[in-house]
Amino acid sequence: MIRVISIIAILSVLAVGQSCKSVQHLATADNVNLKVEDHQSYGDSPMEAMVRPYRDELQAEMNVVIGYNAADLSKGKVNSSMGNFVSDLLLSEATKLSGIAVDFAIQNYGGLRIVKLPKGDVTKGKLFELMPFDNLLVIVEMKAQDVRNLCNRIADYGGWPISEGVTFNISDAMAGDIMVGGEPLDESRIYQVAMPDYVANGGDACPFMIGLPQTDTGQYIRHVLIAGVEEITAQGNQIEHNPSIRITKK
Amino acid sequence: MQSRRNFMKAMGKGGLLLGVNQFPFHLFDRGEVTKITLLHTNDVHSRVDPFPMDGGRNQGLGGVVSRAKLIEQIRSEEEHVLLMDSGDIFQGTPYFNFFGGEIEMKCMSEMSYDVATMGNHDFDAGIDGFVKQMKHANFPFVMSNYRVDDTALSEHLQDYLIKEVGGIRVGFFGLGIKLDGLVPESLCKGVIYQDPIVQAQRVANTLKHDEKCDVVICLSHLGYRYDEDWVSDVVLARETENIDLILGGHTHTFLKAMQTKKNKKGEAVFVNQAGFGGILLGRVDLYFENNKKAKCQSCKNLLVK
Repeated sequence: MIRVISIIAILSVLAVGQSCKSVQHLATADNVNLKVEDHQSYGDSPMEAMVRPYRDELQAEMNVVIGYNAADLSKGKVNSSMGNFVSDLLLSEATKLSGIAVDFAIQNYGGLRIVKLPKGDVTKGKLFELMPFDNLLVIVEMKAQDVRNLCNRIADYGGWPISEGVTFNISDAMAGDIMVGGEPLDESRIYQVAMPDYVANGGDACPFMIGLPQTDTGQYIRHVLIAGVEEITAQGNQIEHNPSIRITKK
Repeated sequence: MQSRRNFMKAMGKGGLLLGVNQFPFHLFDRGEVTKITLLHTNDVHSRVDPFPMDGGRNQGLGGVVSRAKLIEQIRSEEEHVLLMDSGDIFQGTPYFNFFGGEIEMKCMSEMSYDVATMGNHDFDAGIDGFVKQMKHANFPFVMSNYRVDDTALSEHLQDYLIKEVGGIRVGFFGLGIKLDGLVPESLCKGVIYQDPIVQAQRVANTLKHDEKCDVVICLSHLGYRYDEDWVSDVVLARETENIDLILGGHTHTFLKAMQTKKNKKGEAVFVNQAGFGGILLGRVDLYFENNKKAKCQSCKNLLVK
């Protein structure tokens, strides 16, 4: 007993000798990652009261019907009805916005975020779902070899949405028989190609695009799609499927 | 401060990292134990409402109303709670496209976030777009490896933050990912990315030694781990010292449980990440032993695999 007390005494002296200040030691840590689930209605909470006006404003805007889709448009490879719709709209709008004679348009596959644009009314919100990213529509000046690089990338991927004005086939993940405006690639020509700035700046494994001259339309792709659908509606038309084949897989 | 009984009760709530038998409870008999509860999110990406009921695997999960309720409940149960975010607050739902990040900042302020760091998507409205929303944020942003001297961010990012809760000095700092290739230059003009390891060590040393913090917490947007030879939270943990905890983001990593890594000196570093979209709220409870010894005997018992 005496020995125990003396040890405690010595330890105490040592402790005081070392430092008079107490120390907070991190002894251990415990963790659980909690799932945030809506188990009940929280309609009365201050947070809900704060969010509600924003949500209402957003939904009012999103629920605005801007057009009518005549048939389901689906996302897919190598060609798809949704891919044709989006890329053809990018082509016509890029030409209109820039005044440049754009040869064709492309859209990276991963940039389309819904698998189906259903038949029926098309709301603004649906196009936000289709294209949530704030990517800008740009037009890139490309030489024949640049076009080949791009088509090879698309071929390697198994097909991206590409517009009218360009066709090629895919064989062994390479692009062949590339035709622009119905003609084989001309080594002396500069092609004008519309695409998201994301791809034009080298994104989605397109480093060969970096440094090519660009013309910026200044418009988000989503905005361009909304404007395109509004124009179709203003002309008294519906969204119609253009089934032309752009990519052939061998 | 808690009695030993309360301490054990508190420890019993979640799965212990240490088996109860291994834990040196006797060491706590003469010291006082303080528990600090850290709550954290990352990559919430403008997910103000829960995921839509569209048959997707996350349907009905997340949302600021549910998260606020959960945080409120934990605050009512625990004495010392801190709340933080590891970046990518912006972008992902039309709330961001329409309101430019205003509602995200207002929600975080309403939940009383203590501190956050910036992710690459927080540049999506440009530097000015981010700065514009700062008036809606009542909490500070920490960032140690972006030099922003010549930008409008300089007034809004600080090197570190110290919070004193329950007698514990908690030091926070933030790390951002390389912006080149992720963020268009026009949106982050003038921001200079610096080596996160070097800057983390600098600020961690300051917090531990000069500022006498009892615990140093890194809010990181570097990403949890990569197959490539890129800096990540796992690399950061291994190659530094004086960091106790890394709360990460960017890779949208769902960890079943917080990981324990060895730092440069073989000491434990805890690393956690809470998925994305506000689906998870990460919770880490830290227990501090208060004594007059320079060394902490019980800390040696921290498990390092």
